[in-house]
Amino acid sequence: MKNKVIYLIYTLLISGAFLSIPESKAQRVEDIFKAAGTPSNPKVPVSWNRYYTYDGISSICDELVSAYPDLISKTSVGKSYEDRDIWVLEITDSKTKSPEDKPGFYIDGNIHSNEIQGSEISLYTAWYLVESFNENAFINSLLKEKVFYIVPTINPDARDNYMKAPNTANTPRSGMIPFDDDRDGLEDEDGLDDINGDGHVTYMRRKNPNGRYKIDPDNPKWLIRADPDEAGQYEFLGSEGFDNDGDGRVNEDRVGGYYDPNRDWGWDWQPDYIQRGALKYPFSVPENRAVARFVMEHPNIAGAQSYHNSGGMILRGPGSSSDEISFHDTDKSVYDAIGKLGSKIIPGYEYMVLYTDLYPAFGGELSWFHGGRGIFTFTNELFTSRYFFNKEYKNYNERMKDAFEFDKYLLFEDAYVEWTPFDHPIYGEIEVGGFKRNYSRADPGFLLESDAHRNMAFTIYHAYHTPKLVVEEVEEKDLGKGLKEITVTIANKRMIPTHSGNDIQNRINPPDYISITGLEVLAGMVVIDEDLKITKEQQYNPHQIEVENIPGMGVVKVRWIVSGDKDFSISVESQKGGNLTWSKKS
Amino acid sequence: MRKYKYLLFIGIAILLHFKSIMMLGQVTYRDHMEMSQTLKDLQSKHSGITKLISLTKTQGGKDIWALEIGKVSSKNQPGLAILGGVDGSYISGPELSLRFAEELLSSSTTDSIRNLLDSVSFYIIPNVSPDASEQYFSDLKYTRNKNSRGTDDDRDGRLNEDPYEDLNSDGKITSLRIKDPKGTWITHPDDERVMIPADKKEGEKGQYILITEGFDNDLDKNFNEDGPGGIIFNKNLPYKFEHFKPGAGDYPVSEIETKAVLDFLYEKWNVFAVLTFGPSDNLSAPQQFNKSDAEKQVISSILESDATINSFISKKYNEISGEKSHPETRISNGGFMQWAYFHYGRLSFGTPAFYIPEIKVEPDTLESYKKKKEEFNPEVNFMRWADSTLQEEYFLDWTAIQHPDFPNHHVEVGGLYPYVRNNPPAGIMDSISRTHNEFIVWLSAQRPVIQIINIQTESIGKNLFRLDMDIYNQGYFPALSEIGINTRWVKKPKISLTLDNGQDIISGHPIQLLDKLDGDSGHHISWLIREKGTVKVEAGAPQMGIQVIEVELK
Repeated sequence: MKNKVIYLIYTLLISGAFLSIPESKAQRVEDIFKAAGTPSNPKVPVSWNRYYTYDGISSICDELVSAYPDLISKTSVGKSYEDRDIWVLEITDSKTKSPEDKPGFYIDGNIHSNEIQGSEISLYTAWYLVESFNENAFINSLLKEKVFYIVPTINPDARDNYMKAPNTANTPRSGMIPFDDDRDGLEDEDGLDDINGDGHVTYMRRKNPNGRYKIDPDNPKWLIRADPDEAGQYEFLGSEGFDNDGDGRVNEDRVGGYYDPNRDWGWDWQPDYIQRGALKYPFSVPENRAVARFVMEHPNIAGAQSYHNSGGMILRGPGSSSDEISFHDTDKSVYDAIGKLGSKIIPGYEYMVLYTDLYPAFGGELSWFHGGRGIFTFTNELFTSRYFFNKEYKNYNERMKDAFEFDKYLLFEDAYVEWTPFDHPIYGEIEVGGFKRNYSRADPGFLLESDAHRNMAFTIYHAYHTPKLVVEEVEEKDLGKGLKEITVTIANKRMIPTHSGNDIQNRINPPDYISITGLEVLAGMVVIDEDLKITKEQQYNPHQIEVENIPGMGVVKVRWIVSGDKDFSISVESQKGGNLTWSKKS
Repeated sequence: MRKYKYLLFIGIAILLHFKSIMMLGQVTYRDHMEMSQTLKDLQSKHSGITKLISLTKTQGGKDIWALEIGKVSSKNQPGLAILGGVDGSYISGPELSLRFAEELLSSSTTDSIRNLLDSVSFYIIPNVSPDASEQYFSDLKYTRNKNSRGTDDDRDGRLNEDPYEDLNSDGKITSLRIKDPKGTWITHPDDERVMIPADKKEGEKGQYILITEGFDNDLDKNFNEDGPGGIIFNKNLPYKFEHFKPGAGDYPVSEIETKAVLDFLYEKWNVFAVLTFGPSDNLSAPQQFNKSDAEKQVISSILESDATINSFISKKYNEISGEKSHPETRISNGGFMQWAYFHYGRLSFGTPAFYIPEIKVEPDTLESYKKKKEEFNPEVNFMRWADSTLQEEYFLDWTAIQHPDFPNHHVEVGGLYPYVRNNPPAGIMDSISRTHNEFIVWLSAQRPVIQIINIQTESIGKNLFRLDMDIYNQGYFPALSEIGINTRWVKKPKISLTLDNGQDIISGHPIQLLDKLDGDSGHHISWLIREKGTVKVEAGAPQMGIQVIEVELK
């Protein structure tokens, strides 16, 4: 009985948090005036100005599924190293066509576990799509034509570790597989410590007249380098920590350690001594292996997006000069068109090529999606210091100065921990302080929803341009003696082709099949040039013509010589372009 | 069959030796079921020093066995990993791996082998391609190295749609030659059974189309390009993986058996070297150091000091197993032997184990013979060797047949039987196995071995003591191969000092890691310690053993 009461209270609390419209007057439907572009009365109210743990994400997913069962479903793509389910949300109007017949768009976030806001942005996208379905015509037709596969966090274990365990803004980055960073035979034996127990891992500094740092005269909260001819005041001792294993080094083998899930993908992969962060072999990170299998099992995925932080970048491959061969000119022009639009609609974000404009990286996720699967893929580096005061910074000091001012005037010093004395077992009298982990890489609360919306808008534009195939024209010509020539034009009304250049070259995905049924087929061919009458006959299975690609904003023509005069149907099967049929009714 | 009678200059003794073994009617190769049973029997008979694990089951439902021999619970005993079946058509690899295990265990009560097993562990994975090698034992024999995964080898959207067909119903897939002016093949002037590509440089014009036995089921003008299976283990590894090539897999390590083998090896930090039976060969001829390839970002040459070691090991290999004719380093992209070196960071050796001796002919002594091609042709050489040596059938004489894909053409089926080129006849296995077992035991003796030497203590007054010693590797192999120095998948030798109550270190580190420790070389180390007492020093790494000593400071 007691348990039941507790359960009742519990469910009321949970539903109060997520589901029911609170009793407060200001939130009654009749008291709300819609802001343009945002669902005004969502069935699932979610605050987009804070971050969620893995459990928090999972329950938002569940709420969305129970609110919109016809639009969204949640399944697990597999288990993480610590046995958490990696959720994928499938979002589409399931009443028009089944999902596998539609072009798919894949989104994930948080592959680097400390780069958290990709999860909220992915989740915002899911939320926005389902909450807008009934009130926005564009979103409505988008979900009729496409299917979204959204994995809010691809690295759930270390996401929670980032939030709950001693970490800086830069850790763990990896997942939670124990790893012997210093090759001494022990794993994760000397990580970061919150040495003064204030709930934050900040920095350690020590007063030292021979140190090379001094208090910034303009900003007493932080240290800058002393001038070359000037005596310093402090030495810098790194992030908070002890020498836990007594080997004379501090924080040299932390939890998870240095392996990088974004150097683990099965394309252009290199081992750790060439590409720092690589693990044993491609897809030795179990979370990635599960996602890769999901992608292989969903060959309709034609476009993809992964979210990182930070810096305000819209990145495409290649990841290294050796992979330039998989980027054909036709692909680049599609990337350019989408990427340039992105840098317009997300002011402060720049469209860049990974290996030339940022740094080379072997075995990255976007490399595998593009090279290994022929999927047009971007990685966005979320949040940029241009969000401080709409300024470009020429150097680090200038940017840090504004970071402090932004914290002071807009966050009211919520991101900062004052320097306080501490007696360290190795270093003696030191001071501990600096920025908290949730500042500098993660969006501050009030910017998160805005960053989420703009990035979502970018992915929606990208998803919109996955192929849209239509049977544009069916021409019948009587050849006499019971023979007929049927010529069919299939058009792709969007920018992305059914096969990227690399896909065509390596035949990654099967060709597109254009078939005729209902008539006896004597011969079938692809029409290469209608005017010059150049055709290419296909002897094997002539009723089902194979075309290597249906180009973006382009057409293909196929022709059959048939006998009979019955009704017939044309069907198009394209893994990335979707499946459709057209029927002649006399 | 014996219409070509050449005068042979091969050592007659060897020939007689082979013949005499064949007379005994040796057992042939063992299939998966027999191998599994043998492994289980070995394990139960020698349960104290063996452990048998099934690493996984293939899609074809066959176990990938790993047999561990030695101190099975020890993680710090140098280990040698031995793999067979990396290419399923080299069926002698599994047999040789298994025979090594059998002989080692049957001699495990002798002093020398008992001592060996007290200090070395062997990890024998006899067959990593059981789905493929089973083809040898099936009713239809063809050279197969693919596992049982259904694949679209020619990437046309259809799975396994164009397999071989046994057109002459002899249970073996051989070749078809079709007389056609468009063809690019001719017969070898020294042996008309052998087909060779026409050589434009010699003004030769092709006369035949040469394909494998079967039909073009999918009318794509390619014959038998997409048969049953599958992924080839020796193409599924990440070193120089060839994307989208038939048999490579959708990505490196896509196959459960590849992943299981790698995961097993990555847990065995104590492995100091790997020996692979298969097509890759750096034992008959060693890999050469290439400075420019070694200095590229993506390293593709064996590093210099590792090449020196390879060269010595190769020399000893040829001494033990017999000189080879036309020795040749052979490596394959996506292959296991290369992976074990370049990615696993261990010294890695490989051999097909079976080499055809060169059969020299004396032109003057035979009227009908006129040597027309100067260059050595391995297939012609094989025919000469087989004609005079083999008792079993190895060649199908070209025989005319009708073929619907080539109406109005002269089509013949014939050529070498599958497996005969790369696998010794059963009779020769004994001697090959014996020499290779000897080589493996010798190889294991080259392991790195930790030894703490030159221990000195000195009291420098006021209860201060200096402790000095050398951390020495008394083996031939280094603790870390040169390539292994930079990968985190090989442990560094570690030296740790534990103090007695009341002692502390005035100078020196309690824990130190060595970046390298070559064979027959040492690293000097010293500490200044305050107060008397007994300190403990532990030194070594899993792949070279760990030694613990106690030293009294007084």
